[in-house]
Amino acid sequence: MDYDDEQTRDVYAHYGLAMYLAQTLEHAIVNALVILRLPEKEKYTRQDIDEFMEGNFQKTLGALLKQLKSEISFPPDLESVLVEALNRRNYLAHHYFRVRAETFVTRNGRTQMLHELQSDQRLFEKADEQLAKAMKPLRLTHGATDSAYEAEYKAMCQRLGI
Amino acid sequence: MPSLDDVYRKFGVASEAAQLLETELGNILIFAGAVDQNLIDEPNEERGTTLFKKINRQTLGQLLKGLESSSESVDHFEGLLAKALKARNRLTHSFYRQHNIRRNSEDGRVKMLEDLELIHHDLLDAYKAVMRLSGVDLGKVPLNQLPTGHLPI
Repeated sequence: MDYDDEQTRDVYAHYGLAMYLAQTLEHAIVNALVILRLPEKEKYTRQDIDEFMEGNFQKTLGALLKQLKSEISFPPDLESVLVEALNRRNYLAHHYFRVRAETFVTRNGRTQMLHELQSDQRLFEKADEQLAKAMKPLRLTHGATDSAYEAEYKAMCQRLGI
Repeated sequence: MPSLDDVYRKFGVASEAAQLLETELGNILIFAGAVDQNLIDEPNEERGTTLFKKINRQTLGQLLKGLESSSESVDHFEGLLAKALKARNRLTHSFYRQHNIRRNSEDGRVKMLEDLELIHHDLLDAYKAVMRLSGVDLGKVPLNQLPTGHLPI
């Protein structure tokens, strides 16, 4: 395989990774909405929570972010990183390959694309990490500790035989 | 056996096909809008820009609705378009969540690649059908007659 082919394949792979991280962020926002309901956890059954999560998974990242912002106030730096992540995710999902069609056919262009996709990956990771950090005190207060997560994950794997 | 890079790469290729489809639908709607507003005979930069921006903002689902209400007849491949829309939405919103920890095993990644192959196939079928509306039959493009060699870019 020559250099151009390899670079082209790298662009597709970095795009796929960037979108993986964007979908992880969407999931993190749904998790945050569940964490916000922990103070009233006695009101909900496991099925209620599953249905709540499934309903929210149908929403777009923009709608999820709007809902989260209506329920909690963020530090300004987190809000700006989430908004930037939303804008970049939408650009990648709807316009990226069309806007970058000409850039994609040159070596310098592909190098530029690789840099911007890696920068987007860092942005989605940063948004995810900062959101997790902001939600941590609330979840710890209500018993959703790291070790409780770990135990639940192990029990689930055991149930599923994996 | 496929690596995680193979999965990410195929995801990128399938996403590009989804965006090609969105672009082609947008082109058809821009042309239909330009004809409706008589912008071909009487060009008007402001109205043309407004038309472009309006269509550029639309999601694939909105573009498909726009196509149904335009003068272009898509009755004969409505099913293909509906399938492509479903495939595209699943790819962009929930593909990785639905497959989740399959990414960590070779067998799991095989399943993910098979799914991506089907999604890509549905998107390309719809794209080819939409291209035929523009008078281009991709199935008849003679691959052995394409230019060869190298362009110094």
